Amino acid sequence: MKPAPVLKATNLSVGYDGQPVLRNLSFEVRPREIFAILGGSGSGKTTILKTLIGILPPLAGDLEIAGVSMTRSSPDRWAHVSRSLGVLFQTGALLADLTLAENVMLPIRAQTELPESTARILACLKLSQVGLADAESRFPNEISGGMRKRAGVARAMALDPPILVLDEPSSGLDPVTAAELDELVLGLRRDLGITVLLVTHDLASTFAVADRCILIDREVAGIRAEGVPARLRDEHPDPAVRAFFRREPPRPDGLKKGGPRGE
Amino acid sequence: MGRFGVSPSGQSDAAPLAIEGRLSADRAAELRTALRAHARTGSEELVLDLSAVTHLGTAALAVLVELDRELRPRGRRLRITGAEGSVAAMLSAVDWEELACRRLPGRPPQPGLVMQVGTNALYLLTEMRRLFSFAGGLVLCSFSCLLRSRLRLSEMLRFVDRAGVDAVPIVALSAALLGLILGFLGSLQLKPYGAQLLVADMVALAIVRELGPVITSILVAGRSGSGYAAELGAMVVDEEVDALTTMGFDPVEFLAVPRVAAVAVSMPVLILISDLAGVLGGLAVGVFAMDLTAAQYLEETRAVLTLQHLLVGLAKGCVFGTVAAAVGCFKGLGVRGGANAVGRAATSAVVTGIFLVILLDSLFAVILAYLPF
Repeated sequence: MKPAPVLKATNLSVGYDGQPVLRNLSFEVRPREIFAILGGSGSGKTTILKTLIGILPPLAGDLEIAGVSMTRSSPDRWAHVSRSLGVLFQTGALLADLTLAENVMLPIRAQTELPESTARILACLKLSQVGLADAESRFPNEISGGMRKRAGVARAMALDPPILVLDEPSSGLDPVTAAELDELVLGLRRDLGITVLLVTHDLASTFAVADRCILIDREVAGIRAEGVPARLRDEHPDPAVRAFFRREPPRPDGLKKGGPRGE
Repeated sequence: MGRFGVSPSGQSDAAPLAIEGRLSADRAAELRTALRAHARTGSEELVLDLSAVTHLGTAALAVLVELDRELRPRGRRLRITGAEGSVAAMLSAVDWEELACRRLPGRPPQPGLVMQVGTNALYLLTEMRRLFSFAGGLVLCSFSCLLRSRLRLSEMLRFVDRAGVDAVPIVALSAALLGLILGFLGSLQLKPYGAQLLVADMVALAIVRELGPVITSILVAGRSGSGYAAELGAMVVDEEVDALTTMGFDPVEFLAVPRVAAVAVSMPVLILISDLAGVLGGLAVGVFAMDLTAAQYLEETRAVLTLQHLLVGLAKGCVFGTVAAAVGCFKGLGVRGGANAVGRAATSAVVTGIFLVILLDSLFAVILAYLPF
């Protein structure tokens, strides 16, 4: 029997001020899966991300996280569920005045009643999991971009979220550091069995880690292709999709970039 | 949340504590309380039976590690039995021996008092050297711009609008209220002697020579100085200043000169407005609280005020305002780091700007005391 999805979007429309950017998005993320949302710059990736993590209300459709439906649950219950997602933001978004351990302790302080002594041990465990055991007392401006991303992952995973959401994790990193981050994500999935939702336009990362992906396109205002990345590159009937996965420049009928309204 | 429970599986102290259910993050605090209640007394070894645990989250694991760390110094040990599958995998991923003796992460130690005093003194000296160097560069750059007609006039007018025109309401209101306060205080002191008319002299001199320029400069430091620091600081963080430098622009000439020049040009007008508003504030007290006529009050003001007073006030105000704006630019262009550094620069610009205004005012007071003004 197919396991129940950890995240399920059904006819979801996302956008700003009542104006949809993407319509009728339907996809599901299964347990222990690394699922990528791909698209060109301005295609609406960040709009989907903001909707999934509860920053932006959806315009239509339903979203289900860990079996809790947005439309069929109370706003408080839904807010609790959206807050339980672990999110790594593009820049890491670590608070500059706090040490790495204190950054990791933030969600623990906000969402549990654990005392500081336990929270410190938990922060230690999480930073060790991402290979930052020796940098616990350092401040974000004292470490490299790759380490900041790792610390961001540790903070996102502090409370064992049902899904770890990574927004452009490789942005601003050199290829080697980006590959190390890919290894970290694969290692976390292997060791901890986490489910990962990856929002990216980095094809190298997608091919390296993603089990399945959706390709969103502003021209069709929705999903243009869904499946295993390598298969989409080699076998998809739409030449524009194959071209995107081969990093070939868009043709006149190819994938369109978005307008000025966010990604 | 699911089922969860902690209970001894026998009567004796050495009987294992049986834990059952899903030990997720939202159960961790409860687990901690329950375990501590059972662990207070007992035998040398505290045995936890996790055979009925279906899930062990990292928060619950942290609770177990903490318990182990607390038991060891008391000569007791934690032993975990019955763990299987993912629970066993979680437990085995932790180096218990290393964690037991590890120092928990804390803030890096603060330097001692002597070190802090020394570091701050050194910082102050460096900052002063940089400020003087910036001021020198700004003056040279401004003259060079004037001589070569390179002043970006349209840009400067935009800043005049922001730093000057937009500041008129707050400057006028503050000065008027200051005039009112002075008038009231003066009337209370002078009325018993029948010298109410001297209130006009007091208000006029205090506002025009001293308070008008100072209050206007403080407002400029608060509005424009902090604004410039934040604006330029954000540009530094976004590498816009580096981009200007690589294109061959001098950031001081391109960014600081039009802003400081705009304030320098706006200050005389702002000070005249504050002088007028302050005198009108005093007039309101004279007319409504001291039975003076407006004509009497204004005639007394005209008699006491000379062009010299007005010029002294204007000169002081122009210097104060220009310095406050320059400090804002200096702090902004000196930003190093991220968003929090921008905030610190804006705060520092206001504090330094206001301090320098007061310091310069004291210097002016001493200098003017020895000059025939």
